[in-house]
Amino acid sequence: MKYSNYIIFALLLGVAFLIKDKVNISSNLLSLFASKESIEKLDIASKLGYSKEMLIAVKGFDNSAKTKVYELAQELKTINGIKSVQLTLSPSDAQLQYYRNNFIYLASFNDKMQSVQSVHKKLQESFDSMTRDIFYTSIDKKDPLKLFNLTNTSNLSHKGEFLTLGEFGYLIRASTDVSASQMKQAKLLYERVHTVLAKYPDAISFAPFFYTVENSNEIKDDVKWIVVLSSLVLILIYFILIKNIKLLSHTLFALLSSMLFATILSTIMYSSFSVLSLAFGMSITAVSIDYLFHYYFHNFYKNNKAIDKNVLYGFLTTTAAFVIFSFIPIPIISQISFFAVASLSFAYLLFTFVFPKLQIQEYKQNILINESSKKLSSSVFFMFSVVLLGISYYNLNVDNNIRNLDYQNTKLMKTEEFFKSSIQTNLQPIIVQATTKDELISNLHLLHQKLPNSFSLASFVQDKKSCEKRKKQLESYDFDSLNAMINKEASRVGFKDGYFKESYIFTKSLAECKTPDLEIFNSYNLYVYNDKNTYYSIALVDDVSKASLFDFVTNIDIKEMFAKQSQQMYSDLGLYSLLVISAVFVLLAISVKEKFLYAINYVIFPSSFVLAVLSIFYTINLMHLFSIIILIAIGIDYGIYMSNSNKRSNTVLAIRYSLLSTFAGFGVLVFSSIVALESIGMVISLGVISIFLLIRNMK
Amino acid sequence: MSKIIILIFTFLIAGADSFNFTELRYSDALDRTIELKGEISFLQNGLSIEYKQSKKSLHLLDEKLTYKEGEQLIALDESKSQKIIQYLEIIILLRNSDDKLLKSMFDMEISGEKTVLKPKGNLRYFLTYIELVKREENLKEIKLFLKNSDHIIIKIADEIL
Repeated sequence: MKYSNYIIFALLLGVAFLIKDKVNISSNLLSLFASKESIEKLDIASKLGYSKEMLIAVKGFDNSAKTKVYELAQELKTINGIKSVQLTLSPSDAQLQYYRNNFIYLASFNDKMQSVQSVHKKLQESFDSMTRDIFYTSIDKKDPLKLFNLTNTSNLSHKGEFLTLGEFGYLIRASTDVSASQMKQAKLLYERVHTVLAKYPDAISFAPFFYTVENSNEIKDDVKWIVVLSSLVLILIYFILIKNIKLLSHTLFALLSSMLFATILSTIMYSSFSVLSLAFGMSITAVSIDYLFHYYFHNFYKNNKAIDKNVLYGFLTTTAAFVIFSFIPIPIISQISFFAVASLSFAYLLFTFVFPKLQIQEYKQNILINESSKKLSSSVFFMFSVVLLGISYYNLNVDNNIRNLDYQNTKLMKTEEFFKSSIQTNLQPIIVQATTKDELISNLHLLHQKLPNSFSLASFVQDKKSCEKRKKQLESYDFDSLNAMINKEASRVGFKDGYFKESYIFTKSLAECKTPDLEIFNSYNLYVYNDKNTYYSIALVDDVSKASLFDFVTNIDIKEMFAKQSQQMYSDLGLYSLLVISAVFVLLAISVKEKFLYAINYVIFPSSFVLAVLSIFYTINLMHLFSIIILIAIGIDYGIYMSNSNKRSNTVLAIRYSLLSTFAGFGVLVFSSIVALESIGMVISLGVISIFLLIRNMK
Repeated sequence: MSKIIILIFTFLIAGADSFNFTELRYSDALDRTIELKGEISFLQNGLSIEYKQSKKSLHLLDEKLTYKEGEQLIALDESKSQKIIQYLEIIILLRNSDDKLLKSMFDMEISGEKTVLKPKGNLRYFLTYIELVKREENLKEIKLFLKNSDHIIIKIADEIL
């Protein structure tokens, strides 16, 4: 029986091995924070090439920079994962063919009827310019009066035909097939691109998937040393302070078994369980150490008692809180809470029913607790907590940007900002949808009419209605008379006889009005995607709110989507927190009865202390709030233990060690450079300090 | 202001490579050739062309173009200005013989004194080809053959010392 703890672990390991192929651990963090609807929108946007573009700029505008940008573009073209590379405004052959065929519909047309005088005047002006100007001037024999005018529809800045990035230098736009959520592909492409870029020290680059790769590396490094730090603190507690290596070994196996059990159960329950939920859930499992310490320091394992009421109440109250939270419609919190319920329950069962059989050495009191003589009453602490809550409410400042929870890659953020500000376009992407391809083009034109600065397929493709209208307009215009007039006047002005004999002949054979193959515009990052009944395309607009008035427009501004989502999250969290606090109050009242005020201070004081410090010095984020919930779960246990303790010094000792373990599990996260983890660490560290204050100073 | 610009150019031109040149511009629409004579100076960051007979001049310095008629600065519209800059940059490029860059923009065929450059990018829609004539490493002629059957021949005389 003394090996039963290890046997249980081995059995669970066997089960995990058997079901390993069915387990689906998701690394898509977006799915934890964004709503299903937002994820669907971003998925479509990704299929439309959004966020798959890579920008590279080479400093300077001299010939050497031109040479470099050209060579770099040639090298980029050979990289697997890069679909197209654009460094000039040159249209592709397919685009050129399209412009040639449809020039007459795409160009603006001056339909004013021309007189002999107006024709003569225009030809004379051209003649004078050609003969007198010191710079070369020519005349178009097909459209000598410049009745058709095709303006540059590109939204890109350029010098000559080379694309430019503001005043920095020449620009390369590369279209990739990697989105920010594809870790493996992103890493491969990142390495390939940076191997090439290493040869060009003057070049700067940015792509959304750079964040995926660079942040992931930083997070891995961060987590590595946090694990080391956490292990060191745990070893310090068991090895140096408790001096019981067997207890350390059993505790570690019990915690591993609980985590394994919860992982198996969670991955069975959830079709896609997040790696982040798994990490947090495992940390919460460490809370169960306080059951062990309470048992150990009260010699429960030698007393032959079936259960300890205090630990049971503590366990039930904590579990009840997490059960309520497991129903919250915020995926990350519901997943973590479910995991916590499973792991804490399993740990409780192990520490209560298996550990008595493990022949763990009895605890012999060798540490004396010096109790302070100047203690304050529980009502003073309660009043103080209320004041702290008031201060928190007054100073509360909530951060709605969920992206701020991620690792803050300031270097890359600066580069991204530099590209954005240098491109000097305040155009934002939106999705435009329709049931047919023709309707899609028509919708894009409606948008273009409302927002003339927008850039979309409408900048290149006529809608059927306008095309037919132009066709009628051209058919009714008397180009034959104009041709005759031009030829007559041109001779009089001094042009070569017959030079304009083909002027406006191209208006005779008008092409059919039909939507072209839209794939030819992919090089402008303009894609069309269609699922069963819907066609989608991206448009860039300078006023998203104005564009959103159209029912065929979907806003894909991630910042706004997250802001909206986080508002919903805060409101859900508020509601569920209220439910949890009510449940905790009721359960505490049942378990501690007349010592309710004393016990509730272990919940209210740490929470209000943390909230007050955070609201004064920080902007509160979602992870701060969630960590306060973990703190409440810890506080409940301590409140019950301290209220019902027969041997106060042993309970205080158990709590002290337990708090040190909690700090090892969560508190060390305060040293993390990832805001989400640092936020948890900050709350738990402040919470640990406040509980120490309570133990020492409340009578 | 114009005096300051003239002073700067005078100073820059003093240290530049300057040549007399003759430009023969054939226009198919007019079926005639127009001859222009002038002085071209290649500066460190640009180029200056002066047509003495008509007292008109073009100056490109650090990608900024100025056009003068006599002493008066004439403003050019953005589109026209861009086209002239592009044209002048090609002249500079041809004169500098930056092989790497030339190869990025043209397909090159060299035969004896002659080098034929066929454009690759947007230029190919306006320009059929360029013919360069070099003698003893010095560029002597630039011939630009345009898509509309016009052509421009620039004959560069010896360096002005």
